[in-house]
Amino acid sequence: MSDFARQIETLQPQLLRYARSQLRNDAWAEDAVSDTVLAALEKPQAFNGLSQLKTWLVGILKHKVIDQLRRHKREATVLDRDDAEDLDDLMFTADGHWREAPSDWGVPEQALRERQFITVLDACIEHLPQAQARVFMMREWLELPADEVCKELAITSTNLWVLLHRARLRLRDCLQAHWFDGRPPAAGRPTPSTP
Amino acid sequence: MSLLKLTCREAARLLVERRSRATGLGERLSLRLHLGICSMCRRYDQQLGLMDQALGRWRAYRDEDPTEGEDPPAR
Repeated sequence: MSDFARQIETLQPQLLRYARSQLRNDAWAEDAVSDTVLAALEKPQAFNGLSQLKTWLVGILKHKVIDQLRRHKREATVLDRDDAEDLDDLMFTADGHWREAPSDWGVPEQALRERQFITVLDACIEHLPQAQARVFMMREWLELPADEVCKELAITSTNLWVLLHRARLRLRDCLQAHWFDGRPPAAGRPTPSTP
Repeated sequence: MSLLKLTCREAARLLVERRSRATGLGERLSLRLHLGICSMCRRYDQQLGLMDQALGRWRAYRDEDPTEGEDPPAR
């Protein structure tokens, strides 16, 4: 096996993880990754070495993932029970007030630089219910414009806003529980820089 | 929704929406009025801003860092 092929193979588990987190379906994710690897092996000359191999592969993967979403449009927008459950009711009173005041996260610049914080965020995204996760990832990872997300998934913009709103509330809740509440107080605040 | 009297729930939704679409004049105005009197929604807006920053880093880790997903080296 060529060196190039071996390097691609090393990155394959990561690619699969990313494809899974967007598609939420193992078979579709595997298809997207094999399409990516085949495309890369067919056109190794397209990798000009200007970017990292991983960046190049992830770029291809994003296209293949969108292909899969298109192919499975109908199944991809089915809401699971958690998506349908009205999270708003847990967060807001019947007359629309916050049940619990959002807490002050300060400006945790230090936290933003920490890999562990990003890992917690990543895990929180993994835990989003299916439809919310797909829509959220299409916006934040694939960076598709809102109208394109609606088109690809055949949903209305109202559906889209509701799903994104709920995804944000969940994410916030998860970060609150697993980072801001669960850490020593210093972690959430700017830490004095050490000379 | 009544544009002049948003509830926090409606304001929270609009705060997410305005990150993705151009909101109308009426929506912008009512959101501004609401944020002017509601510290909880102002705080939620700050939390959203922080999540946006964090998501930028998350994307960079995913798309660029070849060691992403491995355990961080022991310090």
